[in-house]
This record gives sequence, C-alpha cells and structure tokens, in this order.
Amino acid sequence: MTKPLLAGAALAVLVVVAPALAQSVVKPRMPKDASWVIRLPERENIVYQGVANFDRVSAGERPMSYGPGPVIALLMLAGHAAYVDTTLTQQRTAAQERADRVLLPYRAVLDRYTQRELMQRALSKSQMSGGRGLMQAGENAGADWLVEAGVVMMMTQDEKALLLDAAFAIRSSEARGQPVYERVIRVVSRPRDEDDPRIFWSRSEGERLKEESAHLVAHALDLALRDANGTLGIATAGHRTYRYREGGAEKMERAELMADLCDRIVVKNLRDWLMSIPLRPREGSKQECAAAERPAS
Amino acid sequence: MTPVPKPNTEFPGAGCLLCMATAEAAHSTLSSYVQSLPTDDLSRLKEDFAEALRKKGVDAIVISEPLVVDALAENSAKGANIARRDFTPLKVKYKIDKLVVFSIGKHGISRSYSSYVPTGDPRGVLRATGYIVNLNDNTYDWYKTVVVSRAGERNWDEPPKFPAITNVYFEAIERGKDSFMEPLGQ
Repeated sequence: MTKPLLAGAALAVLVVVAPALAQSVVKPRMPKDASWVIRLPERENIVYQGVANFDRVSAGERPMSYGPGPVIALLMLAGHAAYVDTTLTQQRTAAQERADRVLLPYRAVLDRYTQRELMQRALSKSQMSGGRGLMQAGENAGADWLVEAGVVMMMTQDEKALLLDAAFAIRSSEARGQPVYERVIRVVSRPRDEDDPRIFWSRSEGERLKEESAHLVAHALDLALRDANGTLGIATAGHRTYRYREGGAEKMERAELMADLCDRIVVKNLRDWLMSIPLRPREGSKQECAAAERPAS
Repeated sequence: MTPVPKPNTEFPGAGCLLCMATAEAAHSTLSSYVQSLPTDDLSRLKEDFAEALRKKGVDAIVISEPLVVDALAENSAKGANIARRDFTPLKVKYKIDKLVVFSIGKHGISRSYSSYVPTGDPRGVLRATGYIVNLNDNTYDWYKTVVVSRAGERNWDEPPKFPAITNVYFEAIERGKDSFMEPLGQ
C-alpha cells in the first residue's frame, strides 16, 4: 500500500498544481541570457503515483422512487445523492490505490530519492544556459530569476513509461511577488520495450528510474524556460487530435502543435498545458534524435 | 454518409420527465458547448475510408452530398442480409458497384443518472453504423455497429471550454473511426 506520508504529499502537490490548472500565465518575457536558480520545495520526498484508470467509476443507472410525500421524498433524494457521492469517492480512491501498487517494488529506492537529488540531476542535464544551481525554500535568490516546480511523477501500469506533471512558476529578479510565468508541463517518456521493465528500472539500485525521472524534469525545465523566454514557438496550426504512446497504451490529446523535437512533439492542450509526447521513430532519424532528445530514448 | 447530427448531451437513467428536465437544466452550459463542437473529424471518416480502400487497390470515389437513407424506397425483397431500403438506383447515378454507408446515430457527451442523481462523470460517446451494400442485389457485404464510450478525467466541470470533456469527445470520435478502419488494417 502507498505510505500515508506519500499520499499526503500527493495531495499537497496537487493543491500546488491546482491554481496553475485554472489558467496559465505568460507575461513579459524572461531575457534569453537571464541567470536563474531553482528553488527547492519545502518537502524533501518526491511524489510518485501509479497512472490510474477511472473508466469504471460509476454508481450505475438504477431508477429510484422517492416518497411518499414531498418531505420524505426530499430526504430520500438527499440521502441518495450522499450515497452516490460517497460511492464514487470510494471507487476513485480505490482505483488510485490499486494504481499506486505498481510502485511497490520501487518504494525502497523512491523513498530515498529526494527533491534535491532529482533537481540536481535535472540541472546537470538541462540544455539551457544561465542555470546557477539550487537553493533552499525561503532563501533569497539575489539578482537571479527564480524557478519553482511542483513535480508529480507517474508510472504506467505496464511499467513501461514514466510521466511527469510539473507546475512551473518563474519569478523575475525585480518583482518576486506574482510569477511572470506559470504553466503545467506534462512529459511522457518513450516507452521501454524491455521484456521485463521492472528489472530494467531496478538495475543498479534503481539508477535507471532515477535517471529517467531526472531526464523528464530536465526536459520540462528546458521547455518552461524556452516558453518563458519566447524561443519555444507559438501554436499556429489549430487544434487536432494527437495520438501518442503512454507505455503500451495509445492515448489521445486534443491540442495545438508548438514544437517538433525530432522523435517527440510539444503541444499545447485545451487546458493550456504544454505536453511533450513521444512519436514513433521516423525513418533514418534514430541517430539524430538520440542526440537531440532529452528524455531517455 | 448520412447527415451528421450535431453533437449533444444525453443523460441515461434520468428516467422521468422531471428527472430529465433537472439533468438538462443542470447541464445547460455544457449542452450549449457540446452542440458547438466541430464535426469535421467525424465527417472526414468517408475520405479516410476511401483512401484506405484505394491503398488496397479499390477504385473508390467519395460521394460528397449526404445520403438520406429514409428517402430511398422500401426494398420489396425481404430476408437475411438484405437491405431494407432500395439502394440499387445509386448504381446508375454514381456509376458504382458497391456503396459504403456510414450512419452516425449519436455523438456527444453522456452522463449516467439514477433518477435525479448523477452517478458518474461525463463520457465521450459515439454510436454509429457502417455497411457496404452490393448494388447488384441490394445485399449487405459488410455491416458493423460501433459503440464507443470514453471516460475522462475527474476534473471535468470547467466551463466555458470544458477541456477534459472536449478531449474525451474527440477521443471517442477517433476510437470509433479506428473501429471502422480496422478491417482495412488501418
């Protein structure tokens, strides 16, 4: 079972993410040569969840009769609504708990993997210039731009892929109050096609799992900085339905194309999130993409 | 292809008149939004199918105007695998031997109810039928009914643009198109 501590942390991070879901903020651009630091969140652990499927969450369509009399009918209606609400909540919670079990074999590794280590690895993999390191929550960033990221990592049920949801906030060196940039960025890793992905991820005390997580964060960080400084591109092609692999499953997202990065694309979905999704390798592009693409291929 | 109806909402399980009125009223903003969604992706099904047939070596043309099946005469012949309407006049009209028809029954968003109480989150739905009529003898060469229902995310109530619901609607359309294309190896 998921540790209560992690479950609490997941809720906390989702609360952090929630305001960013409502609206993305992209104000005056960050200078391309700006120096920046990443401020670590207060909590040390990283939230890892299983990718849950809520497709079967339903309380059915049985017809109900209320009454006799309006007072009893209203009471029965209120009771029925409360019962259905409780049932749905229990089903959703159970679905998430079932999904989280996929991480049980990795718990020992993940419980020791800290935000600092993840961000340090991500920083070393970032292709963006101007990064000046990490700082603790509450520290003063001086003249640097401040980058904050609330991250939630997810693993698919077939253990073939990792997903990252990162809520970024970037504050300018002059005004620390309202962020000049806020956006959620989702990165979906290329699926691992090993016969036994668990052996792959667990090798060398979970080093592959840690590295892949850091690759995803580094890629998301680069996208956020490029989006903030205006070098990522703008969506012009209109909305269409994009297909991609999430582990062994085919997923779809209605979105606009923002950037074509070799064997993956960056799209802006209907929530204004950026999503970096893997494409099938194109003919003759394998070597090019291996060099260009950040998340492990 | 038969005329594509506008996407809409439905509330199965809201069984009484007052239940239906309550469900409709509670989702009026959503219903207006769903009705405004474009149907281009669905309408493109006939082009995609024709293209897949051409790749298989079939000389396929796309009939651009909508086909109103109910306007065709009743077929006097009855029996298994025989079309209820008489499609044969279309053989001369379009100079074709076989006719592929896609009939879109319902598409949009469905939310299940138990009388007055919603019992799940909205889902993208598509119910459609595809068939091939042999215009020499008015029999079906192929008949397929597609029913797709896709759940979305938990946070769906996000007016005015309902991003999660929009996403599941278009996913249902794509999955339905995939089902029709499946026999052609697409």
